[in-house]
Amino acid sequence: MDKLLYEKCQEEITRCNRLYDGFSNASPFISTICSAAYEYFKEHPVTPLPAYDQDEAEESIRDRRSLALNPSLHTKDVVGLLKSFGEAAVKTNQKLKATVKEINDYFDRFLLDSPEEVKKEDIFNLRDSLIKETELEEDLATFLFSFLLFSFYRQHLQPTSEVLRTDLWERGDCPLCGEKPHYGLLRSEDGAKQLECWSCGTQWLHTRIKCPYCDNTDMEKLGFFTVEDNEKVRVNYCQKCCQYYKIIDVRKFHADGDIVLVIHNLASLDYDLLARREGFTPGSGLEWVNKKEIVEAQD
Amino acid sequence: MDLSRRSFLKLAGATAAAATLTGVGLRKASASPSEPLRIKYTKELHTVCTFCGVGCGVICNVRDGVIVNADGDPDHPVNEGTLCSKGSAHYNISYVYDEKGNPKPNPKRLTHVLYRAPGASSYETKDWDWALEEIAKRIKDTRDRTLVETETVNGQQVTVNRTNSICWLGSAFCTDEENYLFHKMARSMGVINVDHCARL
Repeated sequence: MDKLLYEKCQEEITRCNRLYDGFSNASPFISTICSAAYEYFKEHPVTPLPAYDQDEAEESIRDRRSLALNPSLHTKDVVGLLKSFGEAAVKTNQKLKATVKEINDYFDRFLLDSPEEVKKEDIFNLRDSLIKETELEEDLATFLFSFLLFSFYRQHLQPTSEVLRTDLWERGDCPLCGEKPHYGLLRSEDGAKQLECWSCGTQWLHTRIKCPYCDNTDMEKLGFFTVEDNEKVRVNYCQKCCQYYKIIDVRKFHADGDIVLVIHNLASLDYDLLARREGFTPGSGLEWVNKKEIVEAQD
Repeated sequence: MDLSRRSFLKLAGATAAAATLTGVGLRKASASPSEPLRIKYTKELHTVCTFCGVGCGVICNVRDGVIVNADGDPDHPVNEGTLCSKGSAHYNISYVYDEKGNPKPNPKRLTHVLYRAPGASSYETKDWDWALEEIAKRIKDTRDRTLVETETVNGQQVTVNRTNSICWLGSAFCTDEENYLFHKMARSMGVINVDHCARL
């Protein structure tokens, strides 16, 4: 995480404190996590990957093929940043000290058994193992691991991101890394739907009434829900594939400059819980709700 | 029995605190069953603005079968998300305001086909199938009755196959291709009075 993004995140946390009820309880933790990432990358700077050949990238985009760039990461960096996140969690809640120690021990064993570099799928396997073997619950694991990838890939892929013709991209998955989005926004100037990749931060426009996961355009099977007295967050759903994603309606509040959606996503996790309880699954594959929380509602 | 290390520790009562988002302040509490949030489901439906010949794309937000808002369609090539002041007031096609300023459904909004027979003083409600068939039948009747097949020009009989009794108006709401087909259809019936409402 570079200084600019770090500062934008802190500003967005302040804005979200104002916009979302209850977020102020969580903002110290989010703020500390952002600081941890910033400090970590100050000490361990990331070398961006060389930019993808511009002509090849454009040809791929025109052929409706994502570049699917998901570079391997140094195992030590992955574990190092995750441990920094753990320290941040303990600062917020001392009760987590024993849990974080247990997780750190797991990381140490992982380091011994792993090659120098790990692929994205290995990182997700690590996440799944932690959920199974330690007290780390799925929702927090989703946050830590998605934020980890976001922090690395945003920097690694920056040179290619800058030359990518996202204006030619019409599909629902990310043109740069191929992940499926979990959130987006409605632009204040024209109401266009702009999706953002949770993994690499790429933004692209997508047809407003279309499912990014199954390409369904049947208006009768698409829609969104909001909650009473708060229409700035929409949960867009598709009844054909029964999946959802969140859209922040920027037209509903005053916002200067860029919106850091990763923070809005955290501030609006109520909506993920509601979506799960309504029977939709996250099209991104990111599970932000623990199974127990969904079951509680069914009881 | 398949027992993970975590399950084993839980059974042994020797486990540390669960690390959840709730544990770090993100409680998702307002969505708890005791304090339920009231969900409002909304559909987004495409339509075309009815006010002028530009034909701007509109997205209507419909809740429980009732329009609650109208946005310019950002994916429509004509207006790219914008709407003029009249288009933005689409909501008011469905609603009028009572004495206290509260919106209520517009009782004069047409929701079905109304037909007034020649000489009749009132309208009858008809369905679209009837209306379309009746329009086609009457066009054909008029055309067959009034078709002029030939005309004498400079003392010679010339084939003209035309009717002066029908006028055809194209639409600026339609694409060039659609208007081309309308024009072709009109010409094939012998209609020579063909015009178009585009004026912007």
